[in-house]
Amino acid sequence: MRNFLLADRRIISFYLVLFGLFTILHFLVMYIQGGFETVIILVDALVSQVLLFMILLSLWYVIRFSGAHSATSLRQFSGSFFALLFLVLIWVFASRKLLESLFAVNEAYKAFLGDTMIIRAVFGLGMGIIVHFFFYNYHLIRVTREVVKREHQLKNLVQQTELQALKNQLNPHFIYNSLNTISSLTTIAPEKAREMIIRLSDFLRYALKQDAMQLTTLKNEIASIKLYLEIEAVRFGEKLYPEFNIQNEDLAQELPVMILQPLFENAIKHGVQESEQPVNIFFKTFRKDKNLVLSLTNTFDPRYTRFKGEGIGLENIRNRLRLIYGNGNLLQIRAEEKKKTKRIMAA
Amino acid sequence: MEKFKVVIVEDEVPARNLIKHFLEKHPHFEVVAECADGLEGARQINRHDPHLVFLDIRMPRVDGFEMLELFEGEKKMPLIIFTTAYDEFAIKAFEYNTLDYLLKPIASGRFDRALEKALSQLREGVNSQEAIKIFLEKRDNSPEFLKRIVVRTGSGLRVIPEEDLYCLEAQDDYVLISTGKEEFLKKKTLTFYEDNLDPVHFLRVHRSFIVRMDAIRKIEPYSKDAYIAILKNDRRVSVSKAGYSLLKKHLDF
Repeated sequence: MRNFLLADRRIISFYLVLFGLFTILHFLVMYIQGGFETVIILVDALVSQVLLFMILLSLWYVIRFSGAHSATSLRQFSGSFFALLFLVLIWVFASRKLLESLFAVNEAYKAFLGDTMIIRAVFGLGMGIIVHFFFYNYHLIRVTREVVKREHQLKNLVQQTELQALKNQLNPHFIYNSLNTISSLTTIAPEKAREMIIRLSDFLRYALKQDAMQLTTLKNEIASIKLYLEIEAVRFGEKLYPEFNIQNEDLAQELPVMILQPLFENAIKHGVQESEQPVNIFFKTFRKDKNLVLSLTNTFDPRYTRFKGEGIGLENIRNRLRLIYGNGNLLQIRAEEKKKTKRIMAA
Repeated sequence: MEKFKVVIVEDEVPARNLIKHFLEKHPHFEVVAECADGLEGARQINRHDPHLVFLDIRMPRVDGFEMLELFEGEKKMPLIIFTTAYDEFAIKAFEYNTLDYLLKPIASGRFDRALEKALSQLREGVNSQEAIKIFLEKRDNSPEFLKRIVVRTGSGLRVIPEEDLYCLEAQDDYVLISTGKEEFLKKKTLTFYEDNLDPVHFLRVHRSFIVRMDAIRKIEPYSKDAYIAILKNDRRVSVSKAGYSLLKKHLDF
């Protein structure tokens, strides 16, 4: 593990300034009290404080490895406080021995050292507490920042995954049914089978390739919908009559990729399939307060179709719109007598 | 040459065409009708009285099972060859003699074998009525709850969504199915509905009654050990002592 002091210049300068101040304070206290030469006072202050500076650095590791994650963790706090006491004791004895050996001939100073041990210890403890407080808070800030960052990453990841999952719900039955249809066609109309395979592969290329956040133009969406409808028309024959009424200037409008297909699938499932009569599907675009509105209406037979909330496909669309535009209310579904309308407002 | 009449009930155009195409090789069979759903299928079977029916299971409006149910109690039934794209457990578990099934996509070899088998059975004069009855009973084990009930009415068929049911009453071999407004008779057992209606909504409150809990307006004591549930349409339903304690548990009163 790298020492954080080397990693962060601001921290090391702050720590240095702190000890500069401690040293000056130490010097001033002794100077005001008097009794010794300025050189001795200066050496005393420097030796004591440099030693304290180095010993207290190790507090960082104590805090770091005690795994403190919140300021309320009293047990962790008291643990590192005992470590602090221990470090201050070491400092008191080490600095005394060092200063004694430096001024071995000065008996008065040696006596002074012995007399001031307790004051020094209290002083050292006070500084230790300040350093501890400083380290501790710095550690908390780091941890919190890390947590926030991780949460953010996680949220992004979840959103991506969610979108991916939502988009991938191209109904697998659609592929399966199409393959069955192709299989039938290979025997009775091989030429049609070939056309169908081309359409299916074009459609799947569009549906599966793109990423879920991606926006595409309305023009591309409509092109893929037409492929989809052609494929379904082969299965259901003459019962499908789609009508499109799209304003040319809207074709360049961007919207999420594959957002329309589930609407059409729903219209076919509940409109076309459950009906004896040919079913009309009307798709139109218009502007409402500058926003593009996409509206899909299908007729249905009320005797066989029921409204039981939203199926998974429509629910998915709502969720995707929410994730992309941050508004969960962009899809509207309305049932009138024999007519069902779904609308998307695209920003 | 003797010709056997075939009705195809299948919602997909290419699959219908494929079956017709395969049938061309079998001169003993003749397609008399093709339909895209069970409702039309039931009509055409009534009209043509065919020997053999190709029946898709998953179809809009009235599915293959529901269509067969409409013929329960008939004396004579055509042979049935189910066609399905799904591995329907009900069929797999029940490969009955006079019922057969083809998995889609249909291979021509498998189709020919099914037709040969059908042909020999038809020549023996086999009636599949009994097999269909057993088959439909077996189907009771289906893990899905009923979403609707298809009944015959004087003029045709009615599809009753599960939400519209108020109560069901056993009447001899039949069950009287009541919605808020109308009543229909269907040849079924009450136990079938007890097993196949969603128990979240339906409760058998009496030997002869299943009731939709939402439809109950109030419950009154009737005699020492019996109660009467009054439904939203004022219909009265007998509730036994055991039924009452079940209701108590489910409705939490």
